[in-house]
Amino acid sequence: MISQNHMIKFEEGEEIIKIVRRHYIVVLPMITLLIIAAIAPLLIYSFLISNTVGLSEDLTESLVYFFAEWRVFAYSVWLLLLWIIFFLEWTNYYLDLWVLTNRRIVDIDQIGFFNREVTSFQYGQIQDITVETRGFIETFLKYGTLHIQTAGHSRNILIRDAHYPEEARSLILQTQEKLKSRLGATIGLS
Amino acid sequence: MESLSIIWQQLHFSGNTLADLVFALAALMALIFSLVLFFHWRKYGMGGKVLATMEVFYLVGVVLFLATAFLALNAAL
Repeated sequence: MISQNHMIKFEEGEEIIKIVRRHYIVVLPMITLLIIAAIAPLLIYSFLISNTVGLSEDLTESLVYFFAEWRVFAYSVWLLLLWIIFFLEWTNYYLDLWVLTNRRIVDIDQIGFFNREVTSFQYGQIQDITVETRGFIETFLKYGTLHIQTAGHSRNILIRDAHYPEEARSLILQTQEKLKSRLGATIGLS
Repeated sequence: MESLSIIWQQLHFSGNTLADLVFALAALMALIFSLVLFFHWRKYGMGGKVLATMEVFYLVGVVLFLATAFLALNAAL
């Protein structure tokens, strides 16, 4: 069930056809970093008490004592922090989207957590759509850059690492054709 | 019920030690970020199964880590 977004005010009869998001792979580097950060305390502890650093006996003892007493508490708090960081990053990824409706395209650019840009344009304004798929990974995982050139917009409208960009492109072109023929029929009637 | 009250008596939060302070800060941070995240998800998310699943997943994780930290804090004191 798709609910209405507070950033977009839908017109009467306007329906969402598709929501385009970036591919899941874009969050993979962040997940890798967080996994490394989650394992790091264990590795650092093993490294410190293994005598390779040459710590004094007192310091080693204090470390062993600290970890014996507080390891579960400290590690839980550390994992909680990483958990929250993951969801903050995921939210940034998830809220960056394109909404294709039967009347227009809305580009919501999530720049930071409290910083977003919303651009909306009609199908009639579209002059050219380009899909760029570079390299083996993008081809294999079916993602790429969707670039739309429009009349009346000073900046290029693009979504990087869009999932199934070809599908989105055909859908945009189909909707554009439908709207054109409907407009033509209306003009013909009048 | 009696066993629950015995467990509850064993648990305490004095607020005197550094660990208590760290726990309180962690819980406060979790609360603030949870509010911010839920605000964003409700206001700017488009609904759907993925978002609903992630909301549950997030809450389970936060509760689990906070509960573990709290129990470990009590075990260590």
